[in-house]
Amino acid sequence: MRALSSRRAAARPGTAAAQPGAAPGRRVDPGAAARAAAVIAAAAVSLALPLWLSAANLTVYILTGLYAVTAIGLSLLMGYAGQVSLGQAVFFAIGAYTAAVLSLHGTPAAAALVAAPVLAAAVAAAVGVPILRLRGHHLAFATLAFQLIVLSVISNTAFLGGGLGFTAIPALGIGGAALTSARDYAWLVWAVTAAVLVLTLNIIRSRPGRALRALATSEAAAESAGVPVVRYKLATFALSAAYAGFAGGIYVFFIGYASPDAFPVSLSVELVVMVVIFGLGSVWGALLGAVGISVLVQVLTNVGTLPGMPQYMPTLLSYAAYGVILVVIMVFLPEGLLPALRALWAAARRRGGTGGPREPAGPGRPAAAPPPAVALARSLVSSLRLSPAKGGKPPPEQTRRQ
Amino acid sequence: MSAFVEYLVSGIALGCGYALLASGFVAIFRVTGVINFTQGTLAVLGGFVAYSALVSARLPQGLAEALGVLAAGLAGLAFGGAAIGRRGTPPLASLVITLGLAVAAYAAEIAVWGDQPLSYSGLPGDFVLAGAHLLRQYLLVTGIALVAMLALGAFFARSYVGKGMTACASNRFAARVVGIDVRRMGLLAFALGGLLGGLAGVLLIPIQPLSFSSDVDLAISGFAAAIFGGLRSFEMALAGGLVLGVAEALVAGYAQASYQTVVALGLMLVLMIWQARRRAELA
Amino acid sequence: MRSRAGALLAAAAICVAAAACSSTTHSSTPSSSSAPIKVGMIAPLTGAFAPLGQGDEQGADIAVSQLNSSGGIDGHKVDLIIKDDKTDPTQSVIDFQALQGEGVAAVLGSSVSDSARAVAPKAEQAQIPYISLSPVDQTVNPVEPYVFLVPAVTTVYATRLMQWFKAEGITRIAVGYDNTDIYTTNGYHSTLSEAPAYGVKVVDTEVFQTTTTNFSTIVSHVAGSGAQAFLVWATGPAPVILTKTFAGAGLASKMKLVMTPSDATTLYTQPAGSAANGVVMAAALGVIAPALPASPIKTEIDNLATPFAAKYGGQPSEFAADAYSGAELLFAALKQAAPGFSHAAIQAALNHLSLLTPDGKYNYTPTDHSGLSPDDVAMVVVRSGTFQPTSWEKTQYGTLPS
Repeated sequence: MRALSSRRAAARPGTAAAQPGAAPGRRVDPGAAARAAAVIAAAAVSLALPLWLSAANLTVYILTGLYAVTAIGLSLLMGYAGQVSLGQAVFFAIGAYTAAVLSLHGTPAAAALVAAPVLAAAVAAAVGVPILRLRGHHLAFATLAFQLIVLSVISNTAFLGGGLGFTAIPALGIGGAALTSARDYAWLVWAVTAAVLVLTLNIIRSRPGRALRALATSEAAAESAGVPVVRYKLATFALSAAYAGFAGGIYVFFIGYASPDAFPVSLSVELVVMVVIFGLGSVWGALLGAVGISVLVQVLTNVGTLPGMPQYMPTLLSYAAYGVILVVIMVFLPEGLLPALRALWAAARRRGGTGGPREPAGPGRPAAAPPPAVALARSLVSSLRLSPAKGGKPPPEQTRRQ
Repeated sequence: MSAFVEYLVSGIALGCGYALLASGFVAIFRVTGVINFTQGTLAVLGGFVAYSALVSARLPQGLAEALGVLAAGLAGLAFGGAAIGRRGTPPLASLVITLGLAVAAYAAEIAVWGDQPLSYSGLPGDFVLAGAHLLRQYLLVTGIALVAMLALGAFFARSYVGKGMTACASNRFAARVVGIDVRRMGLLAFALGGLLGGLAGVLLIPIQPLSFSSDVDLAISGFAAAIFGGLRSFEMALAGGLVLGVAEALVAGYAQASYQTVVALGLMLVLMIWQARRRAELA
Repeated sequence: MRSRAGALLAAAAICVAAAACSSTTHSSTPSSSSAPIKVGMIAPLTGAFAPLGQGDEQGADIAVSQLNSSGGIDGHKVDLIIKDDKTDPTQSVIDFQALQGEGVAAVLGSSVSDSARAVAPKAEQAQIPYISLSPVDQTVNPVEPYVFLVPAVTTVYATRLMQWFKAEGITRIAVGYDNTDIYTTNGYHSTLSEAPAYGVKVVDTEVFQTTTTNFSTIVSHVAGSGAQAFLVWATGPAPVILTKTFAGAGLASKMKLVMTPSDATTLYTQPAGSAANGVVMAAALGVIAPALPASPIKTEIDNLATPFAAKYGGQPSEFAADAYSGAELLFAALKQAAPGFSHAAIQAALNHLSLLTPDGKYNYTPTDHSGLSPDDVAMVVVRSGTFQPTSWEKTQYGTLPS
């Protein structure tokens, strides 16, 4: 009887969450069918897009997809494992260089592409052991320093191309078929982005994913609940590096050129912007952030190259956009645009008189846990408390918990 | 021998510049708990404003630099307003805000000064020490930095405002309880960081031309020096700056300039990790 | 949130398509009577090498205006599409793909050497004639069918430099070069290979990067090396800083400072100011046009210098001369490739082209795509911000190219 009633409850949208008969631990998602349809529509449109885009915009499409994959990995790291990385582009670079060096030395391109994320993850795991001991600010700076060190080492190593880098990197392909046109790469990137999305959403909903969410809320609590904190942080760091490394591998085959200057710190900053703008810890947010930022930059470039504008205008506008967006979001909407929009949406629905319960959480977001940015702050503060000498004002919630 | 002296002195001068930047980091971190990513930007802004005052407005030497420092102080105050102005901004969010401000500053800098490196002449001429030709500017940087550090120490220990800031640094709740406006102290700390950063920029730009993108290297070097003292001690920040500056100069002199980054950053990373381990052991 | 995310994604995807506007700058208006011939150009209009890009744009602009005002080629005007590569090789690849999409007949390549290294293989793959304005020796060694070089290769410059050193009685030199730029690195290697034949010994080598701003250590090394001249291979802001540091150390009276051909521009002499007085460099003949005796080459140079002075003021820089000459070579090939103007026809025409341009006398053959010799290079000295022939150069007027 109970099972029947809970099923009927699931069929009625808007009231499910309040039903006492609902099975414990399972969130019921009203409107799931509508959402799925929207995602399928978006997927179809983005799949068809390469047919109509010009050569210049195909490049934007491809780079957007690659940055989206990297940003999704970064959002896992920043939103769920609660670790800030200001140097994520280094793993993109490691992936690119791995693929370049291997393919230039005779390895088949496809194998070199597979090796890219593997090596990036291995480096992340190795470096993560000492670095992930650091907290908050120190970790942020350490990741930045790591990127600069790696770029400097590459510049000084002849085997890695030195300051000049590599050129004429062979085409990507399996067996006899090679990807030559931008459109081929665009579809490859679409497939990779879709696969990464599905994979990541599954990870989040799995048991390890729940453990990760616990980590984001409070490391101390997670540890006392039996979550092997260090191992999870390391695993997430390595996984995010793998995403970035894979994207970097595809990038280097597409552009055909790699040098230390192609992976600057500003790329890491752009990735952070993509991740935080819609909301930390939201996989869809990372994708939207990547797409949104790319479109914005393209629009600014078009504006910046109108006749009469000084030559550096596109660069200037891009910097202004990144900087202003980051500042405004972090000051006024530290949780990102999605939660703010969601709050507006929920308020509108309540006012619209459905009278139902609060909007159930979207994918990958625990219904009861606080928004990731606050969780991030909490984990930071709790880590700061391990060292009593540090200053820093704890947020009010923390005080109440005492 | 003369080569060694040359490297040593230039390293000390550069190191004093880093120490000034480091002090900015320390001042802001102690009072607000925020790591100010715009510390390098403030140095660049200070240098650029001094450049404009000197070259475009044709103001006399000392006045132009003073204007640059002042402008950086004001900029620091503005950055602080954005970073900590709003109540309840978590410190990590503040760090990301300063990051965003640094990027936005690029746009402003390119718009006003273009994207090529700028420089102006500092103290003209050179002097000879143990056979080495050394720029007089090195003496200026070292002298002014040391004076500034002394003044800073006195400010924090003796002046009313300085003591207030020290109180915030050691215990913000207690400071609030006794009526100190913690937020105002934080903004003052940012202004102070701006002045220190601007001073560094104004002194370094004759030795090392700066462009809009120079802020990252400067911030990294300043931060590395600040880490020496765990971001809390001005004396150790000075020591850190000197060690870093001299190490970089020796590496550039005897090995290759391209290894400088690895040396500076490697040193910083090792120190941070070592400090974290010590803290974990103590806690 | 999935429906929202999905809808946003679809909207963003559509925006990408909508943002597909042209972001190019056109240098000449197309004629309405017959279809213009589209020619692409990639130049560093912004970034560290902006001084080079400025010259490139100016030179090409004058060449195209002259051609179009005299009726174009076979009645067709030439439409020059210039893209900014921001001194970034990755951007130059993106620019090339955009130009390819626009269906250009040929591409005048970027003067940024790393851009040339990145794009030339792509142009070769796409079989689009690529006329490189960057003296990267590797682009013509081995010869690629579709890639042609305008500036002289570094061995040619190095030979001329050695001829001058020998004539001046200089036997010990220090060499400094930027190891993050292939042109300057090639310059260094060419110096090493050409020096012995002229009795010149390299007593000190200094390495730096394009982004280096502190040259005090390098200058003090050189001062103590016992060299009679300091030959520097550097482009961008670094040469200016190095020159000022050199002068500031009081070395100008003790040894000759010999800079790179890429510094033969007022964008070097102006910021360097009085520190540049007495600095010697190897450069294109066009740089000392007013001082040349009446000759076929002088007439050629005046074809550029006169309108240049009228439109922009002052003498044309090395890059303006390169771009003008490159355009001339292309136009000569286009004339032969009428009426189809196919890529293959243009390439065939270039393969046997013999033409006198402001840069010198070109003799392209299927096995020689660089075409210039040491007689096409001038040794010049900077005096009060202008370029004058060295006294030795004046003795060489008998062998001017024709």
